[in-house]
Amino acid sequence: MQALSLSRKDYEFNNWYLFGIITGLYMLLAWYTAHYIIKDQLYYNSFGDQVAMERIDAFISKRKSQEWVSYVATPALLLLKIGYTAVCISLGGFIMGMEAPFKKVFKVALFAELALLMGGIVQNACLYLFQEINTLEDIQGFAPFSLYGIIGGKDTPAYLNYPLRVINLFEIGYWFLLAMGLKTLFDKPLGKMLGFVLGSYGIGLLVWTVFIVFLSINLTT
Amino acid sequence: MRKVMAILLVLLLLSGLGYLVAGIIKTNKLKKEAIAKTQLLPTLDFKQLSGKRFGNDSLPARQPTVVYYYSPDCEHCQYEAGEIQKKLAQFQRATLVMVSTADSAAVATFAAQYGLAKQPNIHFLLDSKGAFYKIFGTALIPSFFVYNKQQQLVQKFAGETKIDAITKLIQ
Repeated sequence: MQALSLSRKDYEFNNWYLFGIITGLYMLLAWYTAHYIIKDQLYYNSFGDQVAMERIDAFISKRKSQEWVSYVATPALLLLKIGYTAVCISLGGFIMGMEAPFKKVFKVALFAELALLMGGIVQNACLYLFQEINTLEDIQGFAPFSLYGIIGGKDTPAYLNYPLRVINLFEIGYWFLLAMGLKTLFDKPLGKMLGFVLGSYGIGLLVWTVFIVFLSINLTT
Repeated sequence: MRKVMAILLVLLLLSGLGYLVAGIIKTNKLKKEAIAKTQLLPTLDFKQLSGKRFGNDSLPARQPTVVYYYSPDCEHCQYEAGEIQKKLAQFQRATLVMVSTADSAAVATFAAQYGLAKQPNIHFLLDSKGAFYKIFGTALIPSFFVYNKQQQLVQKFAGETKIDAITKLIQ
């Protein structure tokens, strides 16, 4: 347990340095996925029966020409994601009567993001090494560390895919890192902070997940 | 004051969550009903460009029917219309029912632009009340529902679809 604990010193990093490193690694991951996992052939295999070849060619060209957009958007999206977690925890603190200043919580959420980044790296490495990829569905259906990997399948309604994927090993690691960060910065017991994370960020995650399910059920067939 | 604000925040959160959950349950129910309803060609009740009513009794007996939900502004739908125009012969023994929520002027322009307005087996229908979504359970543009001579659903396609994939089902 000692090896797992964090000290205040661990949180003396410069936010923007760590943010830059995490953003860079997410960009690298996105580039790797786009070039080594989602190969052009997958689009033909997935859509060839329904969509004309020349239209798939056009889609691939367009996707390649707009690839830079995903890299440019990465820092903004990451900032929103970390900011959302920090807002949820700060608001949770406000409701539960615990002082949790946004600036400090943001630092904790930024550090905890490493768990989710690790999840992305491990997931992609396993996908590359262990999964036979012939169609895009092979990628979408690969989630061995999540609840989807245990109970999900082809018969799972599309709108349940996201919630089943959200509950995964790395997300649980994220909760623990958040709780450990709050314990360190606010000198409270880990158990109490874990409960606080579940009651604040957990509710925020629930709202976000329900929102995504709402969108997916309304926008898909 | 802090307590009141905290209670208000919780109430706001719960109402937002309740709204989303109610929306999910409602849409899920509607979609399940639509899947059951669309196994056979459902009741169509739309207006034509001429203003006349178009229903199932307007369809020729014992002929496949393709219901196409589209929008004149959608690039995929414009491409599909161009392809339909090129492959009109493949639709000879079927009826193509094109439904859109766009206004009659936009639909008339679209029909004329792709040379489909005067085809006797192609009908441009106006869905001004969003009835298509309630009947077919989708508002995805473009969508195709292909029915055989017995008016049974053969296949539905969501998103852009090559015309050959549709016409091979109605030959």
